[in-house]
Amino acid sequence: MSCPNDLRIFQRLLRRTICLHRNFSAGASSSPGKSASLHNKDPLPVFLQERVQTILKQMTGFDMAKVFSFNLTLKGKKPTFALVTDEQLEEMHLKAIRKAVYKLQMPPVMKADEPVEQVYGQDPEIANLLDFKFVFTDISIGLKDRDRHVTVRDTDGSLRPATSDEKQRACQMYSTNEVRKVIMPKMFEPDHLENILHEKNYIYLLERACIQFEPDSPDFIRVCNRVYNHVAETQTFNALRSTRFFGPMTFYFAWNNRIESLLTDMIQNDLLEDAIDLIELYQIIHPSVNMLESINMVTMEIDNVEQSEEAMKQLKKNKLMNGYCIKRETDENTISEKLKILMDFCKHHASKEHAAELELSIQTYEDRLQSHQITQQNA
Amino acid sequence: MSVARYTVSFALRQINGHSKGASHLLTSCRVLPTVSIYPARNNSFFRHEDNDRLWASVTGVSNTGKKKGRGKKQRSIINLHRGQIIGEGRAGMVWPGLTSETKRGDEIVKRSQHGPKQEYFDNIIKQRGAKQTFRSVKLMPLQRGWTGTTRAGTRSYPPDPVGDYDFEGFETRILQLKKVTNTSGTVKAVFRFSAMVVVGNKNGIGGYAVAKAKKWDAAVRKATNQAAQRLQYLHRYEGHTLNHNFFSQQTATKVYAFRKEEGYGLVCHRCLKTICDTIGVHNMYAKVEGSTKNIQNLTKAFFNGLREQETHQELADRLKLHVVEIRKEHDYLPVVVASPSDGEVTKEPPPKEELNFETLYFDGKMSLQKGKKRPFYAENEGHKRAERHRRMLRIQRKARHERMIYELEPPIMPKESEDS
Repeated sequence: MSCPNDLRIFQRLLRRTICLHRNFSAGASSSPGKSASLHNKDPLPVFLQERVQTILKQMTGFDMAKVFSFNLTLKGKKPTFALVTDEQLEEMHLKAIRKAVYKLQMPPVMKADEPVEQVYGQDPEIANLLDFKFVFTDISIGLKDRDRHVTVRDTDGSLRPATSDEKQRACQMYSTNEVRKVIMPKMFEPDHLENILHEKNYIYLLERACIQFEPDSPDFIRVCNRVYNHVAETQTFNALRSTRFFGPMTFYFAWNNRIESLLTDMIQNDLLEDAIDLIELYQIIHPSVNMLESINMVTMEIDNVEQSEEAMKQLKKNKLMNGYCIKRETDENTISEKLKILMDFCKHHASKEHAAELELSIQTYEDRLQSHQITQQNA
Repeated sequence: MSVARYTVSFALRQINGHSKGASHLLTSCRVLPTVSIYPARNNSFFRHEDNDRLWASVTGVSNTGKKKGRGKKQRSIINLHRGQIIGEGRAGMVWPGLTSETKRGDEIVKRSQHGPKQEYFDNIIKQRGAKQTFRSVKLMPLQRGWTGTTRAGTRSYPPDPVGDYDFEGFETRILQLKKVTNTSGTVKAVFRFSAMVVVGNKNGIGGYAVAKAKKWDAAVRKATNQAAQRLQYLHRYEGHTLNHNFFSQQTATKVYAFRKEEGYGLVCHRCLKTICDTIGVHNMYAKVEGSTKNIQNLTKAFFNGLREQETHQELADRLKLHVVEIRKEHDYLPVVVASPSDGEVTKEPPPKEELNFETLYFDGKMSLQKGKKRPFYAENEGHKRAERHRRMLRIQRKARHERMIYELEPPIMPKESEDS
């Protein structure tokens, strides 16, 4: 910046940027999101609904061994042993539950970020002087990377907001995430992704994607959707149970009208409550489906909690678990009504390809139930 | 002798044959024919005595001779067979299939004679004069012992079968093999071999024994069979390491053994390493203090320590506390391994220092842990500068590799030759 001409250009560049930030932050909040059809709709508001969240949490499951699953990268560490009393053990368990809830936090389901074709200003007179782009990053303390303003002065003299890729790279320079790569790893490229999916190491793939991408990045959505589809194709839903990806996966299927295979899996695994919840979720997302009354009738239950010491402990644990639950017992009194709802769904809303399979699973469940009752009567 | 006699008689008969017609010649001419006698011994001393007796006649000295001090500069026996090849000889024959190929191309080789080869006989003479050197048999690295040609640490045969049981999967390792002497007034020094052997199935069962015999292999066999009678079950944690750290002492030999994670290996005395191999302990660190050369005491101390290990359940029952396992790879999830079997848990546990699982069985003792010695040049200015430079470049190799993966690095072009 020794040349006075350069200095002037730089000052001009800077002034423009500062002005822009004010304008940009004012305009950002007032941009309305349009929703024409479900395909282009933003799923985030629906995903964040309280009822939707409770349903997704209940379905996730809370198998501690699975939540704290084996970390391959830390293999070869010596286990430590603690000698503890009852009280200390209880404390340790509560701490573990708190940790598990933290670990089960679901990544948000968002709409893909669309590139903004906005130009703040055009200064063709300085285009000849620019050999490379200028990137201006707001590095004020206490801001999250998503809220930072990054602006780019292109070589043709135009000033524009940074694309999401540029923004990520610029932020990476100041707040470094060691695991996140500047360039997308090869494993997320479609060809390589297929190879990794064959190994069925879904958790590794999804966790890695969570680190690499923002939740509204098109790549993140592409990778997640491909993994969920592969899970449905191979019927390995158990791989994602008790992980933070089961909720988003369920939401993805409900959003895209494809809950049949997941329903079948739930009925086969004797998770009738989950199956009913899934239908309710389906109904919340697609309000045109009208089975709400019957569902409300089923889910209305009154809890009579005994006030004993153990029950209080359990209550405390449940409160800590924040809506997650280990395994829900099916209420025997309402089984027939639930099966009826499922049959109803199967007849009217299920796609033709999967309806037969779903119906078969419901019938086998009924048969099993009947044979069980007969044996009980005989005994 | 008969042959020699024959030769003479033949000469006489010739004279007699001519005697009738030529007797007048004898008398008249007084010319006597010359009679020459050739001794021809076709059988001799060399033919019917064997090799050893013949050599004894040349090199040996009689007992009386020995007493008189004869034969001190003894000639050594020469092996006349050295350098000889079957089929070769003075005739110089070609024997197809023995000294040559049966076929040379399409042509079948026929028996023929090429005459004696002078080189062949020269070589035999040359080899007779050469000194014979002893060649040791080369062992594979896994067959060798701890050091040199000593037997300690080598593998031996498994124990002999007892009844129907044939000790399948058991391995024997020699820990010590030495010559021992018993000297008494009446009988002079009596030498024997003493062998210490460890036997194990590599899966938690092992035993050791010491035995003596006049020959070393007999001593090893005796000890092996004895050890097979004294097998004991030794507890291991997840089949790869000790259940807990322990201290064990036999006279002046003290052993501090530490359990280790998978992949650590055996870092200990070579004797303990051999024992661990046979028992099936794969990961352990051990420090031996006091006498480290007394193999017998070392083995005893280690086996005692292994046998007296406490299981987690026993520990829980003794202290009336829960034993909880915490692993980093499971993100510190507490898993209860053992609880008091009668269900009674104390509410006033001993102070926290006494409950440290790592030092629980050391009885207040701790092995000497020497710090790592810094090299003499650690404080040198030049060394520090080099370290700084290395720190600066430490990531570059990795970064370059990453750039190559994403095809950002220009490919390395092959060097152009000087001509072009």
